[in-house]
Amino acid sequence: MKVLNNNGLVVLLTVAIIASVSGTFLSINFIDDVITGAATTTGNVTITVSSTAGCSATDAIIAFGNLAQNESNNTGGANNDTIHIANTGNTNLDVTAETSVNLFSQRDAPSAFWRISCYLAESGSCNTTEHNVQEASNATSLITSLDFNDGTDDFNVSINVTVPDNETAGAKNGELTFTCTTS
Amino acid sequence: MKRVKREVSDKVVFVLLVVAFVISALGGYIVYDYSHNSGDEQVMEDEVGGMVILNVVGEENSVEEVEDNEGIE
Repeated sequence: MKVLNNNGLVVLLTVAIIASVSGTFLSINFIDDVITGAATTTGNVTITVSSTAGCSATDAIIAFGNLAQNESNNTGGANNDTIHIANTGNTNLDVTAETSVNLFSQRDAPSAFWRISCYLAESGSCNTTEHNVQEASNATSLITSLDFNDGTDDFNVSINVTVPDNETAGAKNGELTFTCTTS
Repeated sequence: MKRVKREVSDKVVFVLLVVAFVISALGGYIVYDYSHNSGDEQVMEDEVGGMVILNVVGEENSVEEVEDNEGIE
């Protein structure tokens, strides 16, 4: 029997390295296609459902109409024109609010002229106490552990505004960002 | 004159053997890690926006200043 010399070993090892690298890439690229086939006996399928935090806002624009300086209005209670936020994911959520664009030119957030609270939640711990709308660095907690199941997965956001007495006349536009985080 | 074919040294063969072993082990780990993590990405946060709009009517400007939160409950 012929003994393989080192040259032959180098060739074989090079082929082994190429085969190993190629096999790795093929496995990664085609792993989803490979895991199929016909079964002729009982099989178990194990899957992992990923946790996804998702939320949506409907009626996301609150229009107070005309307000005079020093005049107040709020969206909770009888007015009931609230921002409606729903948990659209598959995990419980904590929701915070912050402003990205100030409502009043004469009063930057946080100020008592623009306040926010949770109002009528289907689940979770609803923070119904009004808080000054905050900048991003200190977002206000509106609700914790908002459930994800249909029927118990939404809540309303109430806004209370008072026009500063030195606010200039004209259209005002304040923007809010609601951050929904897995509880 | 007949050309003499040089033989690769044992050291080269040994180095190639180590490289082949490392690549094989690394490939096995990559495939294992991929198959156990693919489809398991978790989304931990989402954001939605809201807006408040109003129209201030009345005096164009008021020179009277107010203290912070004065008169606001």
